[in-house]
Amino acid sequence: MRDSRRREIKLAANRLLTEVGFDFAGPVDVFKIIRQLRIWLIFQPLQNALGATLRVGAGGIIITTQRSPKIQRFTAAHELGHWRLHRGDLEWDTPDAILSSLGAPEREREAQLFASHLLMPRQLVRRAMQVVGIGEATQMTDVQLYGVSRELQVSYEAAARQMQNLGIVQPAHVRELLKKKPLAVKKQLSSGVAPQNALADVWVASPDAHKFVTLPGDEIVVRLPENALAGYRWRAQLPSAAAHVVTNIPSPPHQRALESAPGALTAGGVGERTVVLRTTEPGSWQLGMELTRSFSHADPIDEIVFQGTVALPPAAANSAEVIQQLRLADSLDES
Amino acid sequence: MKADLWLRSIAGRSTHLWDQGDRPTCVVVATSVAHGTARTSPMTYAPDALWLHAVKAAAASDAGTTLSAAGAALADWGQPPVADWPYELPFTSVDPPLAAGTPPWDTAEMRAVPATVDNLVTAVSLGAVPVIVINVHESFYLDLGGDRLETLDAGEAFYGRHAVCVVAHAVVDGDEWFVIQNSWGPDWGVGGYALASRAYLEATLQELATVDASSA
Repeated sequence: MRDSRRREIKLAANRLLTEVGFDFAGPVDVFKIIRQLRIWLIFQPLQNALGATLRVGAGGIIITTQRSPKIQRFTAAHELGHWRLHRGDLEWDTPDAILSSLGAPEREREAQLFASHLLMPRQLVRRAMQVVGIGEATQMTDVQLYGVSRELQVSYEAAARQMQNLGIVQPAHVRELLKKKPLAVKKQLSSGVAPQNALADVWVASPDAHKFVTLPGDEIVVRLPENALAGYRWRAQLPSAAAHVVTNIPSPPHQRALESAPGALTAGGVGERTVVLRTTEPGSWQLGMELTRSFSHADPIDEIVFQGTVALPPAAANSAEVIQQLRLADSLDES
Repeated sequence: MKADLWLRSIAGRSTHLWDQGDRPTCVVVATSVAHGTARTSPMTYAPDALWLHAVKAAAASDAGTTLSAAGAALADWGQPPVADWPYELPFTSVDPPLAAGTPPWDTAEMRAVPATVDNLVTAVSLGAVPVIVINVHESFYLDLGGDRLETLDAGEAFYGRHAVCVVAHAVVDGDEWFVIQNSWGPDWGVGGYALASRAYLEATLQELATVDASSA
């Protein structure tokens, strides 16, 4: 693809974000953009295709229900790419057309590039890098790249490719990062335990990161220092159906021998509490953590609250939006 | 006498029960108790003298400290009364407070003994209050208001190594019991004390040491 064409595509994606008033405050809601453009959006259980663009009549975009929300988002952005860049009555896109970087026809690679720039404009990527705490992109680790992809709600590979497109990470470094599978990164974040749903995201909570917007099945890992050998342990309270605790375990302090007295181990010390939540259904949850002595009625000596919203998956969210619009239209007719 | 009444009578005689707060200081607190009771006239000593000595020797941190580091501190600096160096929450001292003066204070010798329950029985029968290091599991927290550590169940969560004192031993109604003095305040067990069975200690005992203040 010529450089001038690449620039045109990037500009087309940026222009669309401006047109719909995107504020760069969070991930791009590509489904909302499609509705804003008054294009029909339909989710169907397509078996051999990820999506399609139909320009006959009012036209519309079809997205499969059979893939993860991240693939659905990228497919929707890809179809919007066809809509804005290409002519033709019908585009019927297979997984290769949307996801394969090698061997795909030119118009598919153009739609892929449009999708990348639409979902991951430079300003949004920089913001995600800040959230994840990446200072120097040349040193970016696989965990940090996964964090960026999670913030942008795109796949690990899509985030890596866009880092390269934007010149933020060099191709050799991208190749190195792509040797790691995202599931391995998720296991690493979750102390070696893979999420029940391999496609779900793993979020790491801290006092600085205590509010989350996730999808059903995502897991949130909370690790807190715990002085259990002084009697204090974290008590988790989660009065919500939107999430439940799947792991709640202590890790002993790193009690070790000292150089001054080989063989003798320390006693006492600060260990760690690991709590893993799994979100289950749309709604909100609040995890209250209290550092307390379970045998005492004294007040907790520390408290931290983590909160989250579990969003509807794309197909259900789209249905809810359409129903709301139909109700609104109905009420306007009546009045 | 029933075991629970025996425990209550011992807990009721306590003159100073420690609450280490959220500091990793069980070793120096237990050592202070052992040192204080080893004196002809029982004393309540300042744990932070031992802690600061261990910190300066790079032998105390968030991972706690060792019995040998506490023993070295006891032999080198010893301890002033806690009235001269109140327990710090949080710990901030880089030097002893003026009221405590300068070391050495009351010194003593800590002796490591092979960690067996029989040696523990011998030490207690000789009138010592030994310091023991035990492995702490879920049941040690006595969440349900219990007064005794009877057995260790398979699969209990493990929390790490913890130092406590053993203040008494007896055979009550045919069962062998030890009275543990913990440093988690009066809400744990009965007034900060609990009974431990021989089987429980055989499953959890890691280290044993006594303090000798006779040469001081």
